[in-house]
Amino acid sequence: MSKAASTGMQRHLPMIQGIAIGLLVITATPSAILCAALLMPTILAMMADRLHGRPVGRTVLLFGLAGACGPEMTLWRSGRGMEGAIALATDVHTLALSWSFQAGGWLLAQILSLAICFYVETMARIEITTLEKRRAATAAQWPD
Amino acid sequence: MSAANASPQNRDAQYPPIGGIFVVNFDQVLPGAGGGLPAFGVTDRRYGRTDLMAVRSPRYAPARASCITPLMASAVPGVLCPLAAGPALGPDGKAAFYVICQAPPGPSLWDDLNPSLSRAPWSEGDLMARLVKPIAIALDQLVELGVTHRSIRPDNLFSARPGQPVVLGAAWAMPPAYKQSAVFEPPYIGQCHPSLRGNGLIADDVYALGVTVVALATGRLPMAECDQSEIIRRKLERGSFSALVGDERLPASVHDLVRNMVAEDPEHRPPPALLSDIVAARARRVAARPPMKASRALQVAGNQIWDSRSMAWALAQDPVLGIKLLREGHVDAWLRRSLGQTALAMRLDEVVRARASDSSPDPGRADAFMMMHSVAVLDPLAPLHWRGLCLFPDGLGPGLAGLSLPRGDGTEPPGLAKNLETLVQWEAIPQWADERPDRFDGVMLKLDSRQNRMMLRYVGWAGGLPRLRYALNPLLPCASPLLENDCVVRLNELLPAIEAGNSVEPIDREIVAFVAARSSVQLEGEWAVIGRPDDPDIDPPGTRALAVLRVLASLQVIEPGLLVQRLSERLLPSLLPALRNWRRGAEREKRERELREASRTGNLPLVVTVLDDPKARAIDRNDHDMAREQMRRMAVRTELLRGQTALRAERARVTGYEIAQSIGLMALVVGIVAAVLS
Repeated sequence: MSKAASTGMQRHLPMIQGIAIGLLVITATPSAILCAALLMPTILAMMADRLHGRPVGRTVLLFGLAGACGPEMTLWRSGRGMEGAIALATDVHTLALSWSFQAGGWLLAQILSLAICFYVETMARIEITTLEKRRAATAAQWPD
Repeated sequence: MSAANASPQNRDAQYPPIGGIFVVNFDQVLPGAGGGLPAFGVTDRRYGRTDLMAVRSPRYAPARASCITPLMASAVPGVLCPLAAGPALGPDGKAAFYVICQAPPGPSLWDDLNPSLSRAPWSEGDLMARLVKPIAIALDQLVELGVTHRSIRPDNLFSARPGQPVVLGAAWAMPPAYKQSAVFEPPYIGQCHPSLRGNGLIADDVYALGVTVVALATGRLPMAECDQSEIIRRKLERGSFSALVGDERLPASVHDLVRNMVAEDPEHRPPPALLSDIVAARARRVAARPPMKASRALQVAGNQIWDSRSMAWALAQDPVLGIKLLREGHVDAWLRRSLGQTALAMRLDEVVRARASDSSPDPGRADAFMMMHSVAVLDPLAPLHWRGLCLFPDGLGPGLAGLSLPRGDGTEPPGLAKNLETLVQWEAIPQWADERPDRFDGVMLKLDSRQNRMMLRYVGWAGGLPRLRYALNPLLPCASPLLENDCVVRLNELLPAIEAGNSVEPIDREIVAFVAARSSVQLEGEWAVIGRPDDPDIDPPGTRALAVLRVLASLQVIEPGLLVQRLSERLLPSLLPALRNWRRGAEREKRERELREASRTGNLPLVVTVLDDPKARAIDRNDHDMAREQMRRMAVRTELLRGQTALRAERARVTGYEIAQSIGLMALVVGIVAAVLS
C-alpha cells in the first residue's frame, strides 16, 4: 500500500470506527451495551493515553476484549436479549473479571516498559564503564 | 671547564708519548734550539737517543703539516728533520703541540754576530765550504721533497764546532717564515703578516741564505737599527742587495754570489743545485733592471715615492688614501709625467675605469678589487694586497689560524678576520692570480677558492670561518674554550679530551667546525640541528642531544677501544627527553633501562642504537597511531552512550508497550478460543 493511501486510511479511521460502532449499536444493541459496560476502563485508558498511537490504551483494549469474549459468548447463547445484556453488564463478578483483565493489561504495559528501560540503561552503563576502562588502559600504555 | 679537573692519571693516559716513544723533558730547556720557539729535551723510550728535542708549536700558529709528513718519511742530511709530532702535557697542566726533531749539534751562528763576543767575520772559504755549499745541498734535497725551509737565519743555523759545516735548524712547528725578520725575507714576503707569508719558494730560502752570508761576511746583522717597515722600504727603494750590503765591502766572489742570491725576482736567484757549484753560481748573470726612478716624487702619507714598486706598497699600506689617490688620478698623472711609464699608466687607468663603471651595491668591494689590481699592475712581484692585508695565496690557512681566532687579549685587530672572510667570499685570490698567469696556477687557485667559498657559505656551526680555518690547517689545535687546557689536533684526540672535561654541553661551535673539517663521516643533518642550541622549535624532543650523541659516537668509532663513561653519564640527562620519541610506555621504560645501562658502559654507539632504532621506531609509531584511533573511537562511543539516555528510555518504553500489546493479542486469541469452546 502506498504511503498516500495509508495516510488517507488513517485520516478516515475515526469515521470508519464511528460507522462500525454505529452499525454495531444499531444491529446488536445488547452486545453493544454489554461491551460498553465491560470496556469502560478501556475507554478511560484511551482517553488518558496521550502517547502517539495510544499504545497503553491499545493494550488495555486487547486485554479488555479478551475478557469480554466470555460474557459476549454467554449473551450470544442466551439469545442476545436486552435483559441478558443488562444482567451481565450489572453482574459484579463479570465486571470485576473483565476490568481486572484490563487493569492487568495496563499494569503489564507499565511494568514491561520500565523493565526494558532499566535493562537497556544498565547495559549502556556497563558498556560506558568498559569503554572507559579500556581507554584508560590504552592511555596508560601510550603515555604522551 | 676543561680537563683541568681530571685526575693526573687520566691526563697522563690522555697524552701518551709522542709517536709512542718520545717523552718531552720539560726540565731540560734548550734555549735557542727551536728556531725561535721553546725547545725541550726528549727521552727516546725505544732507542734511547739523546740528540733529540721537542719544539713547541704556538697555539695560534699551526705546525707545517705539508713539511712534517714528507720529512718524517725521508730525513734530509744537514737539516734538523722532524721525527714525530703530537700533543704533550706540560708541567703547568696545559697541553701543546710538539714537533720532535733532531737537536742542534752545537751553538747557533748568532754568536758570530754578537758584538760582545767580538768574533771575526767569516772568511770567504768558510762561507762557501761551511755555509753555502752544505745548505745548498740540503735545500736541493728539500726541493726534491717539495718542501721549503723558510727559517734560514743565523740563529737557526747550527755548527757542532768551528770548522764544521752548519746544519739547518727546525722550522716545522710554526707557519712558514713565521719568525723571520724582514731582513731575511724578500721585501715582498716581508710585507706580509707573519701568518700570511705562505710556503713560498726555495728561491726565498736562497734569499735568506744570501742575507745570512752577508751577515756572517760582515760580522753584523744588516739594517739592525731599522724597524721592519723601514727595512722593506729600503729594500724596495734601493734594491735588496744595496740595502743589505750598503757601504760594506764583501770579498769579490761573495759579492757576486750574494747579488744573485738576493735578487728581487725569485726567478733570478740561483737554484740550490747551482749554488752547490760556487763557480757556476757566481758566474750566473741576472737580467734584472734596477727600478726606474721618477723625476719628481709623489708624496704619499708623508713619504716621498720615487718608483712604482714603492708606490704600490705605499698605496697598499694606507688603502683609504690609496683609493683616493687612484680615483682622483694622482697616481696616473705621476706615472705619465714623472715616471714616464705610459704603458703602466694606461693599464692602471683601465683598472680605475673598471672601478668607476662598477655599479655593485657595495662600494667597499669595488674599491678593494681596484686596489688589489692596481698594486698588482704597479708591482708584478707584490703579494696580494686586500683591505690592508698582505698575503700570498698559500698563507690563507695559517692566516686564518693567526687572525680569526678570538684570543681575548686583543692582540690582533678584529677587522683582519673580516677582511680575510671577504677575500674568500669574493674569490679575490684567483682574480689576483689572473694578473700573474706566469707565476701562479690560476685554474688550481680558482678551484681552491671555489671550494673555500663553499665552505664559508655553509650555514651554521659547521661552516663559516671556523670550518675553513680547520680545513686549511691540518695541525691547528681545536680552539674551543671547552678544551682550553688540551691540545686536540687530530680527530681521535678529541673524544678523550671531551671525556676528561666536565662541561654539561660537550661540544660548541669550535668543536663542531673542527669535526666537520676533519671528519670524513657525513654529518650534515646533525650539524643543522646542533647549530640551533636555543631553538625551542626543534622537534621531536631530544633531537639536538641525539645529534650531539651521534657526532660523539662517530668519534668513538674511530677509537674502538675507548670507553667514555664520564661523558656518557654527563650526556644522560640531556638524552632522557629523547625517550619521549618512543610512544609505547613499556617500550619507553625498557629503552630507559637499556639507555642507563649503555651509558654506564661508556659505549656511545651502543647508546645511539638504544635511542635510534628506525625499524622499531616505525613500528612503535604505527602502533601508536592505531591506539590513538582506537581511543578516539572509544571516546566517541562513550559520548554517544552518555548523550542518548532519553532516546534509549523512549525506545525501551515503546518496546515494552509493543510486547504488552503482543501479549494482549495472544490473550485475546486465547479468550476467543476459550469462549467458543466453552
